[in-house]
Parts: sequence; structure tokens; C-alpha cells
Amino acid sequence: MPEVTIIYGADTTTIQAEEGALLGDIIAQSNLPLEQPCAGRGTCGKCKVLVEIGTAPPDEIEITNLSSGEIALNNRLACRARIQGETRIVLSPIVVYSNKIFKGSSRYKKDPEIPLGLAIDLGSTTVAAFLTALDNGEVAAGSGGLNQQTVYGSDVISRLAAALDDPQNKNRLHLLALASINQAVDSLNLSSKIWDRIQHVTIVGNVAMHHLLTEMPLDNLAFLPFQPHDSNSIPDASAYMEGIFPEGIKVSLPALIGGFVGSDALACLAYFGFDNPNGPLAAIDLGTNGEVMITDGTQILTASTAAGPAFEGVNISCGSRAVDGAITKVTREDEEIILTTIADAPPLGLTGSGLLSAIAEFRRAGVIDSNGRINPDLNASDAKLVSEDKDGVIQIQLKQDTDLYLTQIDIRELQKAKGAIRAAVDVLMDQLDLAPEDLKRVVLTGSFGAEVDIDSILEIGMIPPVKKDIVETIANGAGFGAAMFLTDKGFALGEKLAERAIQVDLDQDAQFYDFYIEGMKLAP
Amino acid sequence: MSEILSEISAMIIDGNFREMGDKTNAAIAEGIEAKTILNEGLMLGMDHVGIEFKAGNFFVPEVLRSAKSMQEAMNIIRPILAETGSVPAGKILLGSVKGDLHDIGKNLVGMMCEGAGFEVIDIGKDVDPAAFVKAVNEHQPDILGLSALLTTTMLSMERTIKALVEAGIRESIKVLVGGAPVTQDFADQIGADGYASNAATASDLAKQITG
Repeated sequence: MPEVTIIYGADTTTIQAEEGALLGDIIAQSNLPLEQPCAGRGTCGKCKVLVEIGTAPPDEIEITNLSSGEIALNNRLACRARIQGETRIVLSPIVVYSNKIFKGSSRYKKDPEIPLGLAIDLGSTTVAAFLTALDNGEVAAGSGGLNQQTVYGSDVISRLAAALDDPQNKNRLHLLALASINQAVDSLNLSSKIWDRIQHVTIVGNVAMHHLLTEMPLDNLAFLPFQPHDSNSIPDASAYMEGIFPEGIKVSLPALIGGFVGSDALACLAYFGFDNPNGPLAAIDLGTNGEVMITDGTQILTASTAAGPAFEGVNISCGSRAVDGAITKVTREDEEIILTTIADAPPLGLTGSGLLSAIAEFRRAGVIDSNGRINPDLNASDAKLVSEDKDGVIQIQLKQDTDLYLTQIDIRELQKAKGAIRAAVDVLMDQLDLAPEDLKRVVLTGSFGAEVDIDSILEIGMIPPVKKDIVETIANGAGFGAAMFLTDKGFALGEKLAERAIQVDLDQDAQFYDFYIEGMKLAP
Repeated sequence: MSEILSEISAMIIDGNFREMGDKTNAAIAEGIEAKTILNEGLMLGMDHVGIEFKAGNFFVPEVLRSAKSMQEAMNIIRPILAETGSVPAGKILLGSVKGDLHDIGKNLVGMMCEGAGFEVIDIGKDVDPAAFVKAVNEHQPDILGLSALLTTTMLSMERTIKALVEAGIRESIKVLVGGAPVTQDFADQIGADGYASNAATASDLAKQITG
């Protein structure tokens, strides 16, 4: 009987299988997660796996339901593929975000002469693809899914460690990056007529994403000095693509800045106009890996700061990713707590923005003090909200008759994340000799940054005290910047910005420690 | 317990470092032994800080203020303790491993351990295995504490322990490891003697080992 090896991140399972058995049935025996919602009809694509060796050639149904990019990578549908000889597969989570990330003009549909491009934001959590009209640079649609590399850990450092540990893992992470790009592009549902008009693809990402995609040496990045192996742009990166894009489409990787600050930050610099700002400007990409970019009008400084996953609702006792029922906003009206949830579904847990808004609201009411501590001396009505969990941790109940609590430890998690962002901003502002009132514009971006409540951000001091009207939230900054890089002129702008932007090592700044400690306070 | 000792304890808990020196001198002027000030004032206070920290009620800034208060008092009583031949609870050598530039967590561990009556020698960050071996030979600690904040630099912990084995000094000390990505499983896997998930637990563990 042939042996089937299933690789799921760091776990490897081996199962003996009958020749001709259905791959999905074998995976089910392994107890590893595999969704097969369409029950083997081959239509939903949720059971996609990467086949390294083995399995019989795909049948008609399977071929029809795989894109040419997926066929190039040897992606297979576990519900259709049959065991043939020794088999080795890589299993990863397939999550396509049901809502389109962005919907713009449909002008490109009316005029078949408009050349098109694809801009890809290869994020550590979300991979997004943006269809772009090349004649005027307008982004027409954006869609995306989960980065399948998360099977090796949600943070980039764990993925680098896995790649360093085993060269086969390194290759798998490269293929999973490509599979995630495929998935993001496929979720745009492009017809073959549209494909024929696509001329150029740009891919941006942080340095870890870029190096894992291109299989570059990782020693410099994972250990001191924590710098890219090579930060130059790759104008023709087709050789790294394994044929996922049709021949004739040019694929480019813009330049990296330095440290972990990559071409996604470069794209933000371009999109937010750091080349020609109207005075001092700061931009913050809020995510697990936060990026901070600040210019005084001349010099551009950037830094990456490990904020941790609190902004994604991870490591929070009642945390939730952005699914139906996830709480995005917490407000109080006359003592009553009102929870706003996605799709108005019954509340499940807090997203990053829900966590932030809950903490800001309770801070406003004095239930939490400026050190982040749940106030031990509350008035009678507020005191009713507060209790101790079984480990003696103080918690605030978010809604009566539910298990939804905000614990003291959750508040600490947010304080650490917020402190890391604030310290990075303060270090760069200090190095540029800028005071908060000097800033003319502050942009918050990233999937979390685009949906946060600006009042809350200012009240808890995640950014320096500035006037509210200069702060704006912009979704998809990196993706839209990547779209700018699709034209020769835009690409040249990226090259120029990469040359100008300086990456600052926060660890090396003597004041970082003090800024970090001070930055954990929940006060403007 | 004398009133001034409970005041000292309370000042540690409140992180009142500005008045700590005066209060310590006042206690000595009252004729209270340095060792009593340490055991029944300072350590009692730090003990409470540790418990509150574990529950999340105290946070890094508060603990740092408490630690600073402890330092102020220790600066006064340390020479007296040495003169009177008072022995610390044990000696701990601390460092962040090769490739790792993070030290806030490690500093907190040092402060909590000092608050528990240990002599703490901190040899800094990005310390390579050979430097750890050299420092162990030089200081002869009871416990070696290794810190790492990155999954990648965690591997340097294993290399450090190997270097201790090769130098033939592994058995002379207990190795404790910690840092955000470190787990009990990882500690077992690399042959460490213990793991702590936070600074207060680390100091509890150190007390257990030497107690």
C-alpha cells in the first residue's frame, strides 16, 4: 500500500492508503482540518492542497475547477484527486474573504482597449489582489483571502524559523505564498477576456514575505543584523512565479526599504505622497507587524514595530477575527452598554477595533484608569460590571447574561501593542526633531487601521496628541501604492522613494525603552 | 512588625522611589537591622507587587517604579548587608541570548529576583554562548537565566546550553529560560531546568530552586 505523507505546518502525518483511494478521505483519517463543503463536486475549492509527489492525473471536473495558476503549482482538489503511488501533500487553510475588499469604477468593462494590471499586497495575514486600469491608474476592484503560510504560524518570525529549519519548508513557504496569490487573484473572478488584457503584475510585501516568496537567504534577516539579503527591486521576477501567471505578463517586485520594512511600506509612501508632502506627515500601518513612516518634509524615516496580534483580536480572552457577530464597537448610553457587531449578528467576541473601542469607552467612564488598571473603587452601577474570574483576574462584563468579558490581562495586551506603536512614532518624531503640533497630516492604514475609531486612538494615546481633523483612515494603502507601481513612471517613483527612505532600528535608539514604557499609558 | 517597616513595604508597592531613601535611612536611625529592612519591608512589598503583576493588576510601568524604589533602598542597605556578612538568597546571572536585542523582559526578571533577595548579575543583550560560559566561570552563579524574544533567536538558547555542557559546567548551575515565544515544551526539549512565563513567576521559580 502506498504511503501518504501530509504536511501541515510543523506537523507531518503518514498514513497507509489503498491505491486509488480519494485523497480527501485519507486526509480525513489524519484528523487534520480539511473542509469539503460541496461534498466532492469539485466546485467550492475549499479542499485545495499542494501535491509534491504522487496522485493520479486530474479528471475533467477537477481541471475545470482549477485555475491555470493552480494547475501550474500542482494544486489539487482533495475531494477529487486519487492516490497513485507514494504521495506527499501540503495542507493549508483556504479562506477567501466573502466580501470584496474594494469596488471601484467599472469603466474597464465598457472599454476593452484599456490595458490592465494586477497589484498584489502579500500581507502576512491577508493577501489581496487589485485589478487596475493602466491608462489612468484607477483601481477597479480588490479581493483577497488568508495567507496560507499561516499554517506555519501567524507571525513572520515563526515562518522564517520554519524555513531556516528545513529547506523543504522554505520551498513550501514559497509555494504557499504563490498559492495565496493565486487564490487572491482567482477571487476577483476574472474572465479570460480580462486576463488577455493584463500586462503587468506588481507584488509588494514586508521583507519576510518578499524573501519567502523569492526563496532568498534568510540568515541576515532572522538574526542580527536583521536586514534584507538584497533590497533591490526585481523588475522581472517571472522566474520566481512558477508559471502561475500566463506567459507574456511582466511581474515586478518593487524595492525593499530595510530591516523588516518592505515594499508594502514603500507602496504606502507612494500612495500617501511622501515624495512631495504638504508639510510633516506620518503614516502608520496598524497590524501584527506595525509600520511607521514619518517625514519632516525632506527626510523620510521608517520603522517596523512588533505590536503583536492584539489588533487582530488574537490573544484576547474574548477576541475574534472579523467574522459575523464580531464586535467592532462598544458604546454606552445611560449606563447601558451597546455592542455593534458585524452583520448585526449576536455578539461573539471582540475584534481589534472592538477591543480598542471598549477600552476607550471604559476609560472615558473611569472604569479603567490611565495606567490601564480596572478601577477598584467604582460607583455602585459600574461595580456591578466588574467581577473576578476563576484565576482571580479582574474582568468587566460587556453584556449582561453573556460570557463576554474584557479582562485586566486583555487591557494589558492592548497596552503593549499600543505602546510599541507609540514608541516607534515617538522615536522617529524625536529623530526628526518634530513635535506633535508640527504634523500636518496623520494617516492610519492596514486592515485594522482603516476601521478604527479616531477618537479612541487619540484618547488612549496610540498616536501623539494631534488635532482630530488632521487624522484620516485609508484602507488598502499598500495595495493602492502597488497599483501605482504598475506604470513605468510609478515604478520609478518607488525606486526614488526606496533610495530616500531610511529604516531606523528601534532597538538601537537609546530612548526607545523610555518611550515604550511611557507609551503604554492610556492617556493622550 | 514596626510601623516603619510596613511603611517601607507600602512605598515599594506604591512605587514611591523619591522618598524611599529617606525612609530607609530613618529605619536605620531607629536601629532596625538592614537584614530586617530587606526581609520584612522591601521583600514583603516586592512579593505583593509580584502577585499583583501576575493578575494583571500591576503592569510594567508600575513594576518598574517599584523596582526603582527597591534600588533606592538597596543602595543604602547593600553596603551594610555586605559588612555584616549577610548572605543573599542566591546568585543569578542573566542575559539575552546571541542575536537578541530585547531586554525589557529580562530586566523585569532581574528586578523581581533582586526584590526576592537574590544577587543579580546582568550581562546584557546579544550575549554569545562563549560569553555566557566565561561569565558563569567568573561569577559562579546558582542560576543562569536566558531570555529571547524571537522564535529565531530562541535557537541561541539551545546553543548556549550546549556550550555549557561542552565547557563541563552545565551541572554546576540551574538554567531557567523565558521570553514571549518560549514554552515549557521548548524548555524541556533543549534541556533547560525551568521555564517561567513572566517575571514574577521567574522569581518564584528561582526561590523554589535555591530554597
